[in-house]
Amino acid sequence: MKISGADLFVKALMEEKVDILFAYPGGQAIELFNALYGVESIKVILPRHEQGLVHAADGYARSTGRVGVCLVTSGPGATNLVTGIATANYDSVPLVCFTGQVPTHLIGNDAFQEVDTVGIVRSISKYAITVRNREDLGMIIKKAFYIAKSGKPGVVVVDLPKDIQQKLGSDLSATWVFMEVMRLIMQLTNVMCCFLLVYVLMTGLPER
Amino acid sequence: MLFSIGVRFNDRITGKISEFAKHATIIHIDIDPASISRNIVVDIPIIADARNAIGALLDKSISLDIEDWKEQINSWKQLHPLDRPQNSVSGVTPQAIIHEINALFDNLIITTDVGQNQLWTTQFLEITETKQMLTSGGLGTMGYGFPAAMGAKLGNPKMDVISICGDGGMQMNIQEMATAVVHELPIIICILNNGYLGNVRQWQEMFFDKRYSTTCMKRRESCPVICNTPSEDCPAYTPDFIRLAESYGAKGIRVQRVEDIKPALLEAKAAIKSPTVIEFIIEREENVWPIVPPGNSLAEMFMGGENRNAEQKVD
Repeated sequence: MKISGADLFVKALMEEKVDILFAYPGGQAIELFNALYGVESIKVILPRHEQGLVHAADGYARSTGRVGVCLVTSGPGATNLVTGIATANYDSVPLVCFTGQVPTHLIGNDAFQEVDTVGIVRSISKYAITVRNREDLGMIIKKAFYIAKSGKPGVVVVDLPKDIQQKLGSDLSATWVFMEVMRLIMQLTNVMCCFLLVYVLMTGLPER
Repeated sequence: MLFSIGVRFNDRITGKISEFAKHATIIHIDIDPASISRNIVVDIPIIADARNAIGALLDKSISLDIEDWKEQINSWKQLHPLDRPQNSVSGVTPQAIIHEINALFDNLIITTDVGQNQLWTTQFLEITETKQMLTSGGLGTMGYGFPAAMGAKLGNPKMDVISICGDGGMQMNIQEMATAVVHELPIIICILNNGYLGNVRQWQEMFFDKRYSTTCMKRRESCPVICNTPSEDCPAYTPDFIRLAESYGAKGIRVQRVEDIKPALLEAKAAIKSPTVIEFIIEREENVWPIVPPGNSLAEMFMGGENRNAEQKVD
């Protein structure tokens, strides 16, 4: 079945067991908020300013040890996160921040409420990426949570253009895709090991 | 020997870097290889998750006979206590407030803002296994503490959550009062109100000849151009935090006498669904001691007392 990017976003959050989402809506994030409407397992908190929002997610993450999750719109929504992203990243707090973005065909065209979010946050985050293809969405969200909490934790920013939110695509969940890829890698490794074994059997061990 | 776990040895930690722990052997545990020997060259780096590293070390630990050393440390503590007599008339001092918090709360998450409130909290708060402190230690973001307390409460509904902030930082994200009210978060917001951006004011007092440039929060257009003497005649503080809290639908309590500290905290602790703002009116020119002037080594700290005519050391 094909679902929208926004629906996959919600599905992925549920699989990451996100129970609280700190979120402030806006024009370029409206599809995501539409997908969140009525979802019971994710409690959406509406702070009154994006800076308050990201600090709240930071407080949640520091006090629970879990990943704090933010969702804001493009432009001013994203720039209002900047202080909070730097605050959290400096203290190694795991956050995943989703920012709305203008549709991919408008990026770089001085579109309304457009800023180069990834460019702005690059030096104050652990990882930042704009989703360019709908089929990459699931894997990028999976990676975002993994990167945020692994090693020295930090902030990951995922920039979501509006057309990616709207576009229909595979409903395969991020975890499913992840598991499939891992399985594929394992299979490839097995196959390569077999080849190696056959090769060694045929040619003998190399002399030391 | 210096045992350091997950630290970054930045300028706030080391003071003058060439003078820092010159004769010590430094062991540094950090998960991030890039943090090793970045600011201070360490003798023994351990790249590991701190939890695993400490666990592994504890397995090999041996008990030392260091009673003399402990006694020595305790005697130093008595000789140079952090808890210093204050020049407050009312007795509503940061120390008194935080000591009361230590006594009244067991399961507690406390957040600080940035500035004097943060320094006092880190000095006087007693952290136990059931208490946690959240603070913007790296970036030093004013306006952090109050919203962070909301997040902490949402993640830990059964814990008491206190935000300690100054009157400056509180106004940086005060709009979140609405969030705390609508989501029914019974957090306790302690505002230490001295009517100044106190940390900068303290620097101005110590290093800039008391030239209080743009740090007085009571200052109005009608005030004299030059003013470094707060008095009873100063204009009223704006906003009125109590009425502001009430306008949001929260509880507001103003504390001006030392005997009111405990009842205010107890009342706030009993709240179930609503945040409580407690505004503590503290001495206007209260200082944080000790202080290491910027660029100095840790050995050159000011202990207080010398404050009124401290001269900036120039290398």
